Amino acid sequence: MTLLQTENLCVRLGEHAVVHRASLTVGAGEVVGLIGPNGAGKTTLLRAALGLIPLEGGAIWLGGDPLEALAPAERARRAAWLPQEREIAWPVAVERLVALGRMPHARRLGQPTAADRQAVAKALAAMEITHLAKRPATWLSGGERARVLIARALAQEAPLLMADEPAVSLDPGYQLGLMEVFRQQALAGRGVLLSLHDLSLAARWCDRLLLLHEGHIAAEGPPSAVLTAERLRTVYGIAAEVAEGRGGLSVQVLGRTPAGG
Amino acid sequence: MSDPLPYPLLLALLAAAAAALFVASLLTGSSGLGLAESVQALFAPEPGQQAVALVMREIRLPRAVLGLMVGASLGLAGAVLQGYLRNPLAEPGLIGVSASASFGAVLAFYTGLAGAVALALPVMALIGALLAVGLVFAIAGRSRGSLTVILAGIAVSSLAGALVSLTLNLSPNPFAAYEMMFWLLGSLADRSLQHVALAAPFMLAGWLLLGLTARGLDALTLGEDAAAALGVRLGRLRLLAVLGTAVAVGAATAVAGAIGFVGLVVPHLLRPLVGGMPSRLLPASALGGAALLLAADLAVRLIAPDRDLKLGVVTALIGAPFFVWLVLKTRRGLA
Repeated sequence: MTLLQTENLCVRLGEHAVVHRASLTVGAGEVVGLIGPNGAGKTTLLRAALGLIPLEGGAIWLGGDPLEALAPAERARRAAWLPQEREIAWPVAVERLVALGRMPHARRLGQPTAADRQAVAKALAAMEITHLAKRPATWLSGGERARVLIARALAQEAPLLMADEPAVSLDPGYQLGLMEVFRQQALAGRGVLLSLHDLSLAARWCDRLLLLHEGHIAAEGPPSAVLTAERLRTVYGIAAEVAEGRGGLSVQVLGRTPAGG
Repeated sequence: MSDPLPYPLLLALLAAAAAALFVASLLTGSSGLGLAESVQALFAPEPGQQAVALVMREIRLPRAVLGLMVGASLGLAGAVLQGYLRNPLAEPGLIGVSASASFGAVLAFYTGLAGAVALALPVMALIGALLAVGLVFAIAGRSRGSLTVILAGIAVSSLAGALVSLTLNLSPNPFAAYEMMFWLLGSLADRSLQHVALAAPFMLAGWLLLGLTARGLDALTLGEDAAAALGVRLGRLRLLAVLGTAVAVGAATAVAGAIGFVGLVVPHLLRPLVGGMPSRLLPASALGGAALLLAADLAVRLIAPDRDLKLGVVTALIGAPFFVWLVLKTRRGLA
Protein backbone atom coordinates (compact mmCIF):
# COMPACT_ATOMS: atom_id res chain seq x y z
CA MET A 1 0.00 0.00 0.00
CA THR A 2 1.32 3.42 -0.93
CA LEU A 3 1.38 5.82 2.00
CA LEU A 4 2.84 8.80 0.20
CA GLN A 5 3.13 9.57 -3.46
CA THR A 6 4.32 12.76 -5.11
CA GLU A 7 4.27 13.43 -8.82
CA ASN A 8 6.40 16.07 -10.51
CA LEU A 9 6.60 18.13 -7.35
CA CYS A 10 8.01 21.61 -8.01
CA VAL A 11 8.74 24.17 -5.29
CA ARG A 12 10.01 27.67 -5.76
CA LEU A 13 11.29 29.75 -2.85
CA GLY A 14 11.60 33.33 -4.05
CA GLU A 15 13.33 33.32 -7.42
CA HIS A 16 14.89 29.96 -6.83
CA ALA A 17 13.55 26.60 -7.99
CA VAL A 18 14.45 24.46 -4.97
CA VAL A 19 12.73 21.23 -5.93
CA HIS A 20 12.13 20.32 -9.54
CA ARG A 21 9.80 17.59 -10.80
CA ALA A 22 10.35 15.27 -7.88
CA SER A 23 8.34 12.06 -7.99
CA LEU A 24 8.55 9.60 -5.16
CA THR A 25 6.58 6.96 -3.31
CA VAL A 26 6.80 5.54 0.18
CA GLY A 27 5.05 2.26 0.80
CA ALA A 28 3.96 0.49 3.95
CA GLY A 29 6.73 -1.54 5.53
CA GLU A 30 9.71 0.30 4.08
CA VAL A 31 12.33 2.71 5.34
CA VAL A 32 13.22 5.20 2.63
CA GLY A 33 16.27 7.43 3.01
CA LEU A 34 16.52 10.84 1.37
CA ILE A 35 20.16 11.81 0.87
CA GLY A 36 21.93 14.63 -0.89
CA PRO A 37 24.39 17.44 -0.22
CA ASN A 38 23.59 20.58 1.79
CA GLY A 39 21.15 22.75 -0.12
CA ALA A 40 19.98 19.93 -2.40
CA GLY A 41 16.39 20.57 -1.33
CA LYS A 42 15.79 17.67 1.07
CA THR A 43 13.98 19.66 3.75
CA THR A 44 11.98 21.59 1.18
CA LEU A 45 10.90 18.38 -0.53
CA LEU A 46 9.78 16.82 2.76
CA ARG A 47 7.90 19.94 3.88
CA ALA A 48 6.25 20.31 0.49
CA ALA A 49 5.15 16.68 0.54
CA LEU A 50 3.35 17.41 3.83
CA GLY A 51 1.63 20.49 2.46
CA LEU A 52 3.57 22.84 4.75
CA ILE A 53 4.75 25.06 1.90
CA PRO A 54 2.93 25.99 -1.30
CA LEU A 55 3.70 24.09 -4.48
CA GLU A 56 4.70 25.54 -7.81
CA GLY A 57 3.33 22.43 -9.46
CA GLY A 58 2.77 18.72 -9.06
CA ALA A 59 0.47 16.52 -7.05
CA ILE A 60 0.58 14.73 -3.70
CA TRP A 61 -1.39 11.76 -2.39
CA LEU A 62 -1.31 10.93 1.29
CA GLY A 63 -2.66 7.53 2.26
CA GLY A 64 -4.32 7.24 -1.16
CA ASP A 65 -6.18 10.58 -1.11
CA PRO A 66 -5.16 13.89 -2.67
CA LEU A 67 -3.45 15.90 0.07
CA GLU A 68 -5.49 19.04 -0.54
CA ALA A 69 -8.71 17.10 0.07
CA LEU A 70 -7.64 16.22 3.63
CA ALA A 71 -8.38 18.40 6.67
CA PRO A 72 -5.29 19.31 8.73
CA ALA A 73 -6.23 16.93 11.56
CA GLU A 74 -6.71 14.06 9.09
CA ARG A 75 -3.30 14.77 7.55
CA ALA A 76 -1.84 14.62 11.04
CA ARG A 77 -3.43 11.22 11.61
CA ARG A 78 -1.84 9.95 8.38
CA ALA A 79 1.64 11.41 8.64
CA ALA A 80 3.84 12.40 11.60
CA TRP A 81 6.55 14.99 11.00
CA LEU A 82 9.77 15.62 12.89
CA PRO A 83 11.25 18.94 11.75
CA GLN A 84 14.96 19.54 11.75
CA GLU A 85 14.66 22.45 14.17
CA ARG A 86 14.67 20.92 17.63
CA GLU A 87 12.40 23.50 19.12
CA ILE A 88 11.01 23.26 22.65
CA ALA A 89 9.73 26.67 23.67
CA TRP A 90 8.72 26.08 27.30
CA PRO A 91 9.97 23.99 30.21
CA VAL A 92 7.28 21.34 29.78
CA ALA A 93 7.69 17.90 31.35
CA VAL A 94 8.88 15.27 28.87
CA GLU A 95 5.77 13.11 29.11
CA ARG A 96 3.48 16.08 28.44
CA LEU A 97 5.57 17.08 25.46
CA VAL A 98 5.47 13.55 24.04
CA ALA A 99 1.71 13.48 24.65
CA LEU A 100 1.35 16.41 22.22
CA GLY A 101 1.77 13.74 19.54
CA ARG A 102 -1.69 12.48 20.51
CA MET A 103 -3.33 15.77 19.62
CA PRO A 104 -4.64 14.66 16.20
CA HIS A 105 -6.44 11.77 17.95
CA ALA A 106 -7.89 13.80 20.82
CA ARG A 107 -11.37 15.09 21.15
CA ARG A 108 -11.58 18.73 22.10
CA LEU A 109 -10.57 19.19 25.73
CA GLY A 110 -10.86 15.45 26.25
CA GLN A 111 -8.88 13.68 28.92
CA PRO A 112 -6.20 11.29 27.58
CA THR A 113 -7.59 7.87 26.74
CA ALA A 114 -5.99 4.54 27.59
CA ALA A 115 -4.74 4.39 24.00
CA ASP A 116 -3.10 7.79 24.43
CA ARG A 117 -1.32 6.76 27.62
CA GLN A 118 -0.16 3.53 26.03
CA ALA A 119 1.16 5.29 22.92
CA VAL A 120 3.09 7.78 25.07
CA ALA A 121 4.54 5.03 27.27
CA LYS A 122 5.60 3.02 24.20
CA ALA A 123 7.24 6.05 22.58
CA LEU A 124 9.11 6.93 25.79
CA ALA A 125 10.34 3.35 26.07
CA ALA A 126 11.35 3.18 22.40
CA MET A 127 13.56 6.27 22.76
CA GLU A 128 14.83 5.12 26.19
CA ILE A 129 13.66 8.25 27.98
CA THR A 130 11.11 6.78 30.38
CA HIS A 131 13.32 7.80 33.30
CA LEU A 132 13.18 11.43 32.11
CA ALA A 133 9.36 11.53 31.91
CA LYS A 134 8.85 14.09 34.68
CA ARG A 135 11.80 16.33 33.82
CA PRO A 136 11.28 19.65 32.02
CA ALA A 137 12.40 18.98 28.45
CA THR A 138 14.34 22.23 28.23
CA TRP A 139 16.66 21.07 31.01
CA LEU A 140 17.92 18.12 28.94
CA SER A 141 21.00 17.81 26.76
CA GLY A 142 20.76 18.24 22.99
CA GLY A 143 20.77 14.51 22.34
CA GLU A 144 18.15 13.84 24.99
CA ARG A 145 15.92 16.59 23.60
CA ALA A 146 16.26 15.07 20.14
CA ARG A 147 15.06 11.75 21.53
CA VAL A 148 12.14 13.46 23.28
CA LEU A 149 11.02 15.02 20.01
CA ILE A 150 11.38 11.75 18.11
CA ALA A 151 9.26 10.11 20.82
CA ARG A 152 6.65 12.83 20.26
CA ALA A 153 6.50 11.91 16.56
CA LEU A 154 6.32 8.18 17.39
CA ALA A 155 3.46 8.78 19.84
CA GLN A 156 1.44 10.17 16.95
CA GLU A 157 1.24 6.57 15.64
CA ALA A 158 0.62 7.72 12.09
CA PRO A 159 1.02 5.19 9.26
CA LEU A 160 3.74 7.38 7.77
CA LEU A 161 6.62 8.85 9.75
CA MET A 162 8.66 11.60 8.11
CA ALA A 163 11.78 12.89 9.83
CA ASP A 164 14.31 15.52 8.84
CA GLU A 165 17.81 14.58 9.98
CA PRO A 166 16.60 12.56 12.98
CA ALA A 167 20.05 11.11 13.66
CA VAL A 168 21.84 14.43 14.06
CA SER A 169 23.17 15.11 17.60
CA LEU A 170 22.70 11.49 18.68
CA ASP A 171 25.75 9.47 19.74
CA PRO A 172 26.54 6.35 17.66
CA GLY A 173 24.78 4.05 20.11
CA TYR A 174 21.53 6.02 20.01
CA GLN A 175 21.85 6.46 16.23
CA LEU A 176 21.76 2.69 15.85
CA GLY A 177 18.96 2.47 18.41
CA LEU A 178 17.00 5.04 16.39
CA MET A 179 17.46 3.15 13.13
CA GLU A 180 16.33 -0.05 14.88
CA VAL A 181 13.18 1.79 16.01
CA PHE A 182 12.52 2.86 12.41
CA ARG A 183 13.00 -0.74 11.26
CA GLN A 184 10.51 -1.91 13.87
CA GLN A 185 8.05 0.71 12.65
CA ALA A 186 8.44 -0.67 9.13
CA LEU A 187 8.03 -4.25 10.38
CA ALA A 188 4.80 -3.14 12.06
CA GLY A 189 3.52 -2.04 8.65
CA ARG A 190 4.31 1.65 8.82
CA GLY A 191 6.34 3.61 6.31
CA VAL A 192 9.32 5.78 7.20
CA LEU A 193 10.82 8.57 5.10
CA LEU A 194 13.85 10.27 6.56
CA SER A 195 16.58 12.56 5.36
CA LEU A 196 20.08 11.55 6.36
CA HIS A 197 23.57 12.95 6.10
CA ASP A 198 25.33 9.88 7.41
CA LEU A 199 25.84 7.73 4.31
CA SER A 200 26.83 4.68 6.35
CA LEU A 201 23.52 4.77 8.22
CA ALA A 202 21.70 5.29 4.93
CA ALA A 203 23.55 2.40 3.29
CA ARG A 204 22.94 -0.02 6.08
CA TRP A 205 19.46 0.72 7.38
CA CYS A 206 17.35 1.93 4.46
CA ASP A 207 15.44 -0.30 2.06
CA ARG A 208 15.58 2.33 -0.60
CA LEU A 209 17.43 5.60 -1.13
CA LEU A 210 16.53 8.76 -3.00
CA LEU A 211 19.50 10.89 -3.97
CA LEU A 212 18.58 14.53 -4.33
CA HIS A 213 20.95 16.78 -6.27
CA GLU A 214 20.20 20.44 -6.98
CA GLY A 215 16.47 19.87 -6.57
CA HIS A 216 16.30 16.82 -8.85
CA ILE A 217 16.04 13.22 -7.82
CA ALA A 218 19.30 12.09 -9.37
CA ALA A 219 19.07 8.44 -8.42
CA GLU A 220 16.66 6.07 -6.76
CA GLY A 221 16.84 2.45 -5.74
CA PRO A 222 18.40 0.07 -3.23
CA PRO A 223 21.45 1.52 -1.45
CA SER A 224 23.88 -0.62 -3.40
CA ALA A 225 22.55 0.81 -6.67
CA VAL A 226 22.42 4.45 -5.56
CA LEU A 227 25.67 4.69 -3.62
CA THR A 228 28.35 4.28 -6.25
CA ALA A 229 31.81 5.83 -6.04
CA GLU A 230 31.20 7.67 -9.29
CA ARG A 231 27.97 9.24 -8.07
CA LEU A 232 29.39 10.27 -4.70
CA ARG A 233 32.19 12.01 -6.59
CA THR A 234 29.91 13.97 -8.90
CA VAL A 235 27.19 14.80 -6.37
CA TYR A 236 29.09 15.27 -3.11
CA GLY A 237 32.56 15.97 -4.51
CA ILE A 238 34.09 13.23 -2.38
CA ALA A 239 36.23 10.22 -3.06
CA ALA A 240 34.74 7.21 -1.31
CA GLU A 241 34.99 3.46 -1.20
CA VAL A 242 31.72 1.57 -1.28
CA ALA A 243 32.05 -2.04 -0.26
CA GLU A 244 29.89 -4.95 0.81
CA GLY A 245 31.14 -5.71 4.31
CA ARG A 246 30.19 -7.91 7.23
CA GLY A 247 27.36 -5.68 8.46
CA GLY A 248 26.07 -4.89 4.96
CA LEU A 249 26.98 -2.09 2.60
CA SER A 250 29.57 0.35 3.96
CA VAL A 251 30.73 3.72 2.70
CA GLN A 252 34.17 4.94 3.60
CA VAL A 253 34.92 8.53 2.72
CA LEU A 254 38.55 8.98 1.70
CA GLY A 255 38.63 12.71 1.04
CA ARG A 256 37.38 15.56 -1.06
CA THR A 257 38.00 15.48 -4.76
CA PRO A 258 39.59 18.60 -6.27
CA ALA A 259 37.08 21.10 -7.58
CA GLY A 260 35.85 20.17 -11.03
CA GLY A 261 37.49 16.72 -10.72
CA MET B 1 9.79 17.32 38.53
CA SER B 2 6.06 17.32 38.99
CA ASP B 3 3.95 20.44 39.45
CA PRO B 4 4.69 22.30 42.69
CA LEU B 5 1.00 22.19 43.56
CA PRO B 6 -1.96 20.46 41.90
CA TYR B 7 -3.42 22.49 39.04
CA PRO B 8 -7.04 22.65 40.33
CA LEU B 9 -5.70 23.84 43.71
CA LEU B 10 -3.64 26.54 42.01
CA LEU B 11 -6.69 27.79 40.10
CA ALA B 12 -8.78 27.70 43.28
CA LEU B 13 -6.17 29.72 45.21
CA LEU B 14 -5.89 32.31 42.44
CA ALA B 15 -9.69 32.58 42.20
CA ALA B 16 -9.93 32.99 45.98
CA ALA B 17 -7.27 35.71 45.90
CA ALA B 18 -9.06 37.55 43.11
CA ALA B 19 -12.41 37.25 44.91
CA ALA B 20 -10.95 38.51 48.21
CA LEU B 21 -9.29 41.47 46.50
CA PHE B 22 -12.53 42.22 44.65
CA VAL B 23 -14.37 42.44 47.98
CA ALA B 24 -11.55 44.49 49.50
CA SER B 25 -11.81 46.85 46.54
CA LEU B 26 -15.54 47.28 47.18
CA LEU B 27 -14.85 48.14 50.80
CA THR B 28 -12.04 50.61 50.22
CA GLY B 29 -12.50 54.27 49.42
CA SER B 30 -12.41 57.83 50.61
CA SER B 31 -15.95 57.78 52.02
CA GLY B 32 -14.93 55.76 55.06
CA LEU B 33 -18.01 53.57 55.11
CA GLY B 34 -18.34 50.73 57.57
CA LEU B 35 -18.25 47.14 56.37
CA ALA B 36 -21.83 46.20 57.25
CA GLU B 37 -23.11 49.51 55.96
CA SER B 38 -21.34 49.09 52.60
CA VAL B 39 -22.58 45.59 51.99
CA GLN B 40 -26.10 46.39 52.94
CA ALA B 41 -26.16 49.53 50.81
CA LEU B 42 -24.89 47.60 47.82
CA PHE B 43 -27.46 44.84 47.91
CA ALA B 44 -30.45 46.11 49.86
CA PRO B 45 -30.27 49.78 50.77
CA GLU B 46 -32.60 50.93 53.49
CA PRO B 47 -34.44 54.23 53.19
CA GLY B 48 -31.99 56.95 54.19
CA GLN B 49 -29.03 55.04 52.79
CA GLN B 50 -29.34 56.47 49.30
CA ALA B 51 -26.05 58.32 49.52
CA VAL B 52 -24.17 55.23 50.61
CA ALA B 53 -25.92 53.11 47.97
CA LEU B 54 -24.91 55.66 45.37
CA VAL B 55 -21.27 55.50 46.43
CA MET B 56 -21.29 51.71 46.37
CA ARG B 57 -23.13 51.23 43.09
CA GLU B 58 -21.91 54.19 41.06
CA ILE B 59 -18.32 54.51 42.26
CA ARG B 60 -16.97 51.42 43.96
CA LEU B 61 -18.75 48.65 42.08
CA PRO B 62 -17.67 49.81 38.60
CA ARG B 63 -14.14 50.28 39.85
CA ALA B 64 -13.94 46.78 41.31
CA VAL B 65 -15.61 45.13 38.30
CA LEU B 66 -13.32 46.93 35.88
CA GLY B 67 -10.28 46.04 37.98
CA LEU B 68 -11.26 42.40 37.77
CA MET B 69 -12.02 42.42 34.05
CA VAL B 70 -9.16 44.63 32.91
CA GLY B 71 -6.69 42.59 34.94
CA ALA B 72 -8.05 39.31 33.59
CA SER B 73 -7.90 40.65 30.02
CA LEU B 74 -4.27 41.76 30.41
CA GLY B 75 -3.19 38.51 32.09
CA LEU B 76 -4.97 36.30 29.57
CA ALA B 77 -3.83 38.24 26.51
CA GLY B 78 -0.26 38.28 27.83
CA ALA B 79 -0.28 34.51 28.30
CA VAL B 80 -1.72 33.95 24.80
CA LEU B 81 0.75 36.28 23.09
CA GLN B 82 3.72 34.82 24.93
CA GLY B 83 2.55 31.36 23.90
CA TYR B 84 1.84 32.39 20.34
CA LEU B 85 5.14 34.21 19.85
CA ARG B 86 7.01 31.67 21.99
CA ASN B 87 8.68 34.53 23.75
CA PRO B 88 8.45 35.24 27.50
CA LEU B 89 9.00 38.95 26.87
CA ALA B 90 5.88 39.38 24.74
CA GLU B 91 3.09 41.50 26.20
CA PRO B 92 -0.32 42.68 25.00
CA GLY B 93 0.98 46.11 23.94
CA LEU B 94 3.28 44.48 21.42
CA ILE B 95 0.72 44.29 18.64
CA GLY B 96 -0.03 48.01 18.74
CA VAL B 97 -3.45 47.83 20.37
CA SER B 98 -2.68 49.81 23.54
CA ALA B 99 -0.87 52.59 21.70
CA SER B 100 -3.67 52.90 19.15
CA ALA B 101 -6.37 52.93 21.83
CA SER B 102 -4.38 55.66 23.56
CA PHE B 103 -4.31 57.64 20.34
CA GLY B 104 -8.09 57.35 20.03
CA ALA B 105 -8.41 58.60 23.60
CA VAL B 106 -6.13 61.62 23.26
CA LEU B 107 -7.95 62.49 20.06
CA ALA B 108 -11.18 62.51 22.07
CA PHE B 109 -9.60 65.04 24.43
CA TYR B 110 -8.13 67.06 21.57
CA THR B 111 -11.43 67.42 19.74
CA GLY B 112 -13.29 68.19 22.93
CA LEU B 113 -15.61 65.25 22.38
CA ALA B 114 -14.43 63.66 25.61
CA GLY B 115 -16.01 66.46 27.60
CA ALA B 116 -19.03 66.99 25.37
CA VAL B 117 -20.33 63.47 24.81
CA ALA B 118 -20.54 60.79 27.47
CA LEU B 119 -18.46 57.74 26.61
CA ALA B 120 -16.93 59.48 23.55
CA LEU B 121 -13.50 58.79 25.02
CA PRO B 122 -13.74 55.01 25.50
CA VAL B 123 -15.59 54.62 22.20
CA MET B 124 -12.88 56.47 20.29
CA ALA B 125 -10.19 54.48 22.10
CA LEU B 126 -11.94 51.27 21.14
CA ILE B 127 -12.16 52.38 17.52
CA GLY B 128 -8.44 53.12 17.65
CA ALA B 129 -7.72 49.60 18.89
CA LEU B 130 -9.86 47.96 16.23
CA LEU B 131 -8.30 50.05 13.46
CA ALA B 132 -4.89 48.99 14.77
CA VAL B 133 -5.65 45.30 14.50
CA GLY B 134 -6.96 45.79 10.96
CA LEU B 135 -3.76 47.60 10.08
CA VAL B 136 -1.62 44.86 11.64
CA PHE B 137 -3.37 42.20 9.57
CA ALA B 138 -3.11 44.32 6.43
CA ILE B 139 0.64 44.77 6.93
CA ALA B 140 1.31 41.17 8.01
CA GLY B 141 -0.55 39.89 4.95
CA ARG B 142 -1.41 36.28 4.34
CA SER B 143 1.79 34.69 5.61
CA ARG B 144 1.06 32.45 8.57
CA GLY B 145 4.25 33.08 10.54
CA SER B 146 4.35 34.97 13.82
CA LEU B 147 7.35 37.14 12.95
CA THR B 148 5.39 39.31 10.52
CA VAL B 149 2.81 39.97 13.25
CA ILE B 150 5.49 41.25 15.63
CA LEU B 151 7.00 43.48 12.96
CA ALA B 152 3.60 44.82 11.91
CA GLY B 153 2.71 45.37 15.59
CA ILE B 154 5.91 47.32 16.22
CA ALA B 155 5.24 49.45 13.14
CA VAL B 156 1.66 50.22 14.23
CA SER B 157 2.78 50.87 17.84
CA SER B 158 5.43 53.33 16.72
CA LEU B 159 3.01 55.12 14.42
CA ALA B 160 0.32 55.36 17.09
CA GLY B 161 2.91 56.51 19.65
CA ALA B 162 4.06 59.23 17.27
CA LEU B 163 0.47 60.33 16.70
CA VAL B 164 -0.12 60.52 20.46
CA SER B 165 2.94 62.76 20.75
CA LEU B 166 1.75 64.87 17.84
CA THR B 167 -1.65 65.33 19.44
CA LEU B 168 -0.03 66.36 22.73
CA ASN B 169 2.28 68.64 20.79
CA LEU B 170 -0.61 70.39 19.06
CA SER B 171 -2.94 70.40 22.03
CA PRO B 172 -4.95 73.64 22.12
CA ASN B 173 -4.12 74.54 25.73
CA PRO B 174 -2.00 73.29 28.62
CA PHE B 175 -5.04 72.02 30.45
CA ALA B 176 -5.99 69.67 27.57
CA ALA B 177 -2.41 68.39 27.42
CA TYR B 178 -2.50 67.83 31.18
CA GLU B 179 -5.74 65.87 30.85
CA MET B 180 -4.30 63.71 28.10
CA MET B 181 -1.10 63.04 30.04
CA PHE B 182 -3.08 62.01 33.10
CA TRP B 183 -5.36 59.75 31.13
CA LEU B 184 -2.36 58.05 29.51
CA LEU B 185 -1.04 57.08 32.96
CA GLY B 186 -3.96 54.68 33.38
CA SER B 187 -6.53 54.64 36.15
CA LEU B 188 -9.75 53.03 37.34
CA ALA B 189 -10.91 56.01 39.38
CA ASP B 190 -14.28 57.63 38.62
CA ARG B 191 -15.45 55.04 36.12
CA SER B 192 -19.18 54.42 35.86
CA LEU B 193 -21.37 51.43 35.18
CA GLN B 194 -21.70 52.78 31.62
CA HIS B 195 -17.97 52.15 31.22
CA VAL B 196 -18.54 48.59 32.40
CA ALA B 197 -21.46 48.13 30.01
CA LEU B 198 -19.41 49.43 27.11
CA ALA B 199 -16.25 47.42 27.74
CA ALA B 200 -17.59 44.16 29.17
CA PRO B 201 -19.06 42.69 25.95
CA PHE B 202 -15.79 43.30 24.11
CA MET B 203 -13.69 41.87 26.89
CA LEU B 204 -15.91 38.77 27.14
CA ALA B 205 -15.75 38.25 23.38
CA GLY B 206 -11.99 38.67 23.51
CA TRP B 207 -11.70 36.08 26.29
CA LEU B 208 -13.67 33.63 24.17
CA LEU B 209 -11.39 34.12 21.16
CA LEU B 210 -8.27 33.88 23.32
CA GLY B 211 -9.57 30.77 25.07
CA LEU B 212 -9.91 28.99 21.72
CA THR B 213 -6.15 29.25 21.15
CA ALA B 214 -5.29 26.88 24.02
CA ARG B 215 -4.66 23.65 22.12
CA GLY B 216 -2.90 25.34 19.24
CA LEU B 217 -0.57 27.11 21.66
CA ASP B 218 0.38 23.79 23.24
CA ALA B 219 1.34 22.41 19.83
CA LEU B 220 3.28 25.58 19.03
CA THR B 221 5.66 24.66 21.85
CA LEU B 222 7.25 22.42 19.21
CA GLY B 223 7.55 25.19 16.62
CA GLU B 224 5.32 26.32 13.77
CA ASP B 225 6.18 23.48 11.40
CA ALA B 226 5.56 20.74 13.93
CA ALA B 227 2.33 22.42 15.06
CA ALA B 228 1.06 22.66 11.48
CA ALA B 229 1.87 18.97 10.96
CA LEU B 230 -0.08 18.18 14.14
CA GLY B 231 -3.19 19.61 12.51
CA VAL B 232 -3.07 23.17 13.89
CA ARG B 233 -4.36 25.80 11.44
CA LEU B 234 -1.73 28.48 11.96
CA GLY B 235 -3.69 31.17 10.14
CA ARG B 236 -6.73 30.61 12.33
CA LEU B 237 -4.59 30.53 15.46
CA ARG B 238 -3.01 33.85 14.54
CA LEU B 239 -6.41 35.39 13.90
CA LEU B 240 -7.73 34.21 17.27
CA ALA B 241 -4.67 35.37 19.21
CA VAL B 242 -4.34 38.80 17.62
CA LEU B 243 -8.04 39.61 17.28
CA GLY B 244 -8.78 38.31 20.79
CA THR B 245 -6.00 40.48 22.22
CA ALA B 246 -7.16 43.50 20.25
CA VAL B 247 -10.75 43.21 21.39
CA ALA B 248 -10.04 42.41 25.06
CA VAL B 249 -7.06 44.70 25.61
CA GLY B 250 -8.48 47.40 23.34
CA ALA B 251 -11.61 47.53 25.51
CA ALA B 252 -9.50 47.40 28.68
CA THR B 253 -7.33 50.29 27.50
CA ALA B 254 -10.40 52.22 26.41
CA VAL B 255 -11.80 52.30 29.94
CA ALA B 256 -8.65 52.18 32.06
CA GLY B 257 -5.87 53.69 29.96
CA ALA B 258 -2.63 51.95 29.08
CA ILE B 259 -1.66 49.74 32.01
CA GLY B 260 1.68 48.08 31.49
CA PHE B 261 3.52 45.11 32.89
CA VAL B 262 0.51 43.11 34.16
CA GLY B 263 0.36 41.18 30.89
CA LEU B 264 4.10 40.61 30.99
CA VAL B 265 4.66 39.78 34.64
CA VAL B 266 1.69 37.57 35.47
CA PRO B 267 2.15 34.84 32.82
CA HIS B 268 5.83 34.77 33.57
CA LEU B 269 5.35 34.34 37.32
CA LEU B 270 2.73 31.62 36.92
CA ARG B 271 4.40 29.62 34.14
CA PRO B 272 6.55 27.48 36.47
CA LEU B 273 3.47 26.72 38.58
CA VAL B 274 1.53 25.22 35.67
CA GLY B 275 4.38 23.07 34.37
CA GLY B 276 5.04 25.33 31.41
CA MET B 277 2.01 24.23 29.36
CA PRO B 278 0.55 27.25 27.51
CA SER B 279 -3.04 25.95 27.68
CA ARG B 280 -2.87 25.54 31.46
CA LEU B 281 -1.36 28.99 31.80
CA LEU B 282 -4.37 30.76 30.25
CA PRO B 283 -6.95 30.44 33.06
CA ALA B 284 -4.26 30.82 35.73
CA SER B 285 -2.94 33.97 34.11
CA ALA B 286 -6.42 35.49 33.72
CA LEU B 287 -7.12 34.97 37.45
CA GLY B 288 -3.63 36.12 38.41
CA GLY B 289 -3.96 39.25 36.27
CA ALA B 290 -7.27 40.10 37.91
CA ALA B 291 -5.77 39.62 41.39
CA LEU B 292 -2.67 41.70 40.61
CA LEU B 293 -4.60 44.59 39.10
CA LEU B 294 -7.11 44.66 41.95
CA ALA B 295 -4.20 44.64 44.42
CA ALA B 296 -2.44 47.47 42.58
CA ASP B 297 -5.68 49.48 42.49
CA LEU B 298 -6.05 48.94 46.24
CA ALA B 299 -2.48 50.07 46.78
CA VAL B 300 -3.20 53.24 44.81
CA ARG B 301 -6.03 54.08 47.22
CA LEU B 302 -4.31 53.02 50.43
CA ILE B 303 -0.81 54.43 49.94
CA ALA B 304 -1.74 57.94 48.89
CA PRO B 305 -5.51 58.44 49.16
CA ASP B 306 -5.28 62.18 48.58
CA ARG B 307 -2.82 62.29 45.72
CA ASP B 308 -4.75 60.46 42.98
CA LEU B 309 -1.84 58.12 42.31
CA LYS B 310 -2.31 56.57 38.86
CA LEU B 311 -2.73 52.82 38.50
CA GLY B 312 -0.45 52.54 35.46
CA VAL B 313 2.32 54.23 37.44
CA VAL B 314 2.05 51.70 40.25
CA THR B 315 1.99 48.65 37.95
CA ALA B 316 5.06 50.02 36.18
CA LEU B 317 6.79 50.61 39.51
CA ILE B 318 6.12 46.99 40.43
CA GLY B 319 6.82 45.74 36.93
CA ALA B 320 10.09 47.44 36.08
CA PRO B 321 12.19 45.86 38.86
CA PHE B 322 10.64 42.54 37.93
CA PHE B 323 11.70 43.10 34.35
CA VAL B 324 15.27 43.71 35.49
CA TRP B 325 15.14 40.50 37.50
CA LEU B 326 13.90 38.71 34.36
CA VAL B 327 16.82 40.03 32.34
CA LEU B 328 19.29 38.99 35.04
CA LYS B 329 17.78 35.51 35.17
CA THR B 330 17.97 35.21 31.40
CA ARG B 331 21.57 36.38 31.50
CA ARG B 332 22.45 33.71 34.05
CA GLY B 333 20.71 31.13 31.90
CA LEU B 334 22.78 32.15 28.89
CA ALA B 335 26.10 32.34 30.72
